[in-house]
Amino acid sequence: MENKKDNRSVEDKTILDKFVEDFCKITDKHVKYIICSGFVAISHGRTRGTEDIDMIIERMSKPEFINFHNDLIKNNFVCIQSDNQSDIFDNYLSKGDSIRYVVNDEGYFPPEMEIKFAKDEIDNDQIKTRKKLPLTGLNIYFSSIEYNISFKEELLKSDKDMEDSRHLRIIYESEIDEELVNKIKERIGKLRLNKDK
Amino acid sequence: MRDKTHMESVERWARYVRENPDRWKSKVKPIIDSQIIKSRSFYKKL
Repeated sequence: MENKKDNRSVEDKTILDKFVEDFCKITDKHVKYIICSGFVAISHGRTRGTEDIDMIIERMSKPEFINFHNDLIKNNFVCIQSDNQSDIFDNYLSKGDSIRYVVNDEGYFPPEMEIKFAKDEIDNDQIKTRKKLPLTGLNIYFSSIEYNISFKEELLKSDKDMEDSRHLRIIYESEIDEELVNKIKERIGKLRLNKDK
Repeated sequence: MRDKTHMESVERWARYVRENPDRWKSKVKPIIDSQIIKSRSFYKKL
């Protein structure tokens, strides 16, 4: 997917942009990741609030996670759930629950990075087909526009999600692979909505 | 369900973003930043 050249300066980056780029720079050294959901729309100009940014990472071993976590701590992030790496891995990530990191300040103030392990073939494919999206001006990996539109229109469906989807459809008008969107929606139906059962 | 003028605003702004790739961010930055700054300030007061 191509876009018009992005000419934005560093000064135009928002607090959310800087937080996400800092976090992803560290994450990228340890594991394949994607940023998905609300921040995809917000980084394309949707003017709405959010306090958490959604990140999905490939499954990793406990020692690998401990290295990743320690690198985040070294770079001034803190995990809200626990300071204990084993606790975070065994009682949250491995059980399919998300964990949340914030900048280490006087309290756990937003924004938060919400991290989950990839849980099925849809998440694995989102990571496999991840993209950098030049219009955002951010040097991070996103799940594809087709995946984001499909999730919002097929699974999430709130007013906010439908507006996010409409926003992305206008930005990427004529570039969206509708056949792919339909295939992804079908997969979401089977794997997340149990439509075949 | 929000009324149709809400979606019309979403669409109008999205078209601006698409047609002004080097301008939209400076208009969005104060809005996004102010939400975070206000939220942090509120939490700190609690």
